Amino acid sequence: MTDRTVVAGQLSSGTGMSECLAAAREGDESAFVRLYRDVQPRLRRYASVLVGGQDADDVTAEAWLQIARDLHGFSGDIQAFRAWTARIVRNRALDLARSRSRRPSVSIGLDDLLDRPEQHDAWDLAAERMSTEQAIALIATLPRDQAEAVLLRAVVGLDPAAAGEVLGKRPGAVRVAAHRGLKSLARRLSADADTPISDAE
Amino acid sequence: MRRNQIPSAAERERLLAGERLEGQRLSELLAAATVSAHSAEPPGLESALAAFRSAPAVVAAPPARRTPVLKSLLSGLVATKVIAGVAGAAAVGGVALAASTGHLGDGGHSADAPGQAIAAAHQPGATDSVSMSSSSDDSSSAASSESSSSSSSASSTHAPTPSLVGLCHAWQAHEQSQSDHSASAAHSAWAKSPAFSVLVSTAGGTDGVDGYCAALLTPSTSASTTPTSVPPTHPAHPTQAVTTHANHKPSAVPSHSHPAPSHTNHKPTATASASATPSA
Repeated sequence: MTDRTVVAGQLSSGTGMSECLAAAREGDESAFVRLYRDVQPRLRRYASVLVGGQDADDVTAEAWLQIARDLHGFSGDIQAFRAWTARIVRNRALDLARSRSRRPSVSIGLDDLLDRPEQHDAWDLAAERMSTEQAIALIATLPRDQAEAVLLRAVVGLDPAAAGEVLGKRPGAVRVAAHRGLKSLARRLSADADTPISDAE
Repeated sequence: MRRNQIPSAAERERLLAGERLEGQRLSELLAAATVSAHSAEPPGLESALAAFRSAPAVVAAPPARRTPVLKSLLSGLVATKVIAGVAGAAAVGGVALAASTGHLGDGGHSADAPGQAIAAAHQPGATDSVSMSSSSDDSSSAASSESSSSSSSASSTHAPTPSLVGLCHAWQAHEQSQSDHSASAAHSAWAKSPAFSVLVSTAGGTDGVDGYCAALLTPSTSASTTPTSVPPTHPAHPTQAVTTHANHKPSAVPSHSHPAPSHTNHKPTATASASATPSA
């Protein structure tokens, strides 16, 4: 309902969302909807870095079934909730990867299996007005650990410790990956500004 | 103008924490990445909401829940089935029939029932018409294996089965939202989700889910005013669920066998009495 009015705004920092979370856990439907609207765009973007935009809807939709089912047993604040949901999304993405693998018993990395979003037009930006999709696609061109770290921190809104929990890494490792990712993005953006990109393969 | 802007470590940290830095292209990129959703209605909201509605309102231990849901559902169904057998629709659903008649001590022997016609009428998905007809012959053996489980589980008829209804809503909502995708591809990925495992197994396989849900969600005029919260009152789901319980994996699904829907409505009374206390 209020989404329409904040089209140009940023994802909220979480104020009020902890109350929302508490109400949703008690079964308040409108609170759940607000929660969904806050968290889903983050999860969707995170998922699209993991599996590409095509499958991100499926992955997050499945994740939400689990979230809705287990929400009542969840305890924690909105930060913890975002981390929990991000972990569910990540697991669903891995499930998807495994289901597509011909070698299900082999340990699988997302890098090996998942389609990454198309890269070429992501760089072809006027950069003055970048769409969310372009921005996410751009971040997705980073090595996966960096892309995930950037997404979890900057988009999902997790601190390094929470992001580390999602990724099964130490906070320091997340930090390094996120910073590397940002540096790399900054370099590419400034190179982009110097020379018009002609879709180098 | 904006060249060579590699932000410092401190700046990067601020960016990661959600701050915006004026004149930084990287900041613009992150702003674009975090801009709030454009669509007023996110496409998956409906199915998420359906799942939310179907989730239990009280805190329950999540790990212990999945099996009991299915089990108590099945127990309710078996009880339903027993009553249905008494009511004269004894031939409904082969193994289930075997179970119920066996359980009743052969009294409900179905020789008088025009078995398959009724049975088929009771299961819109019709995943099982083959095993149905064959198993009515060897009802004694099937009964021995089935009756034990039915008697053991039939004691707990307070089934929190709304989750199946919710899953069906979610399934259907997802299906609608997937009109641009290939439905089967979407379903196969969808069906592998742990979230749907109960639904898929209850319906006897991915292919059975549509039919199962269609039957489950069809409003039953006589039985219940709140079909979403009291699913066990619907006549259609005993057959398939018990079929699953008996573990007949129907490999071929004859989806063309939907004959004579006229019988689908004769059971709600028996069903309602079987699951008299579904919600606590």
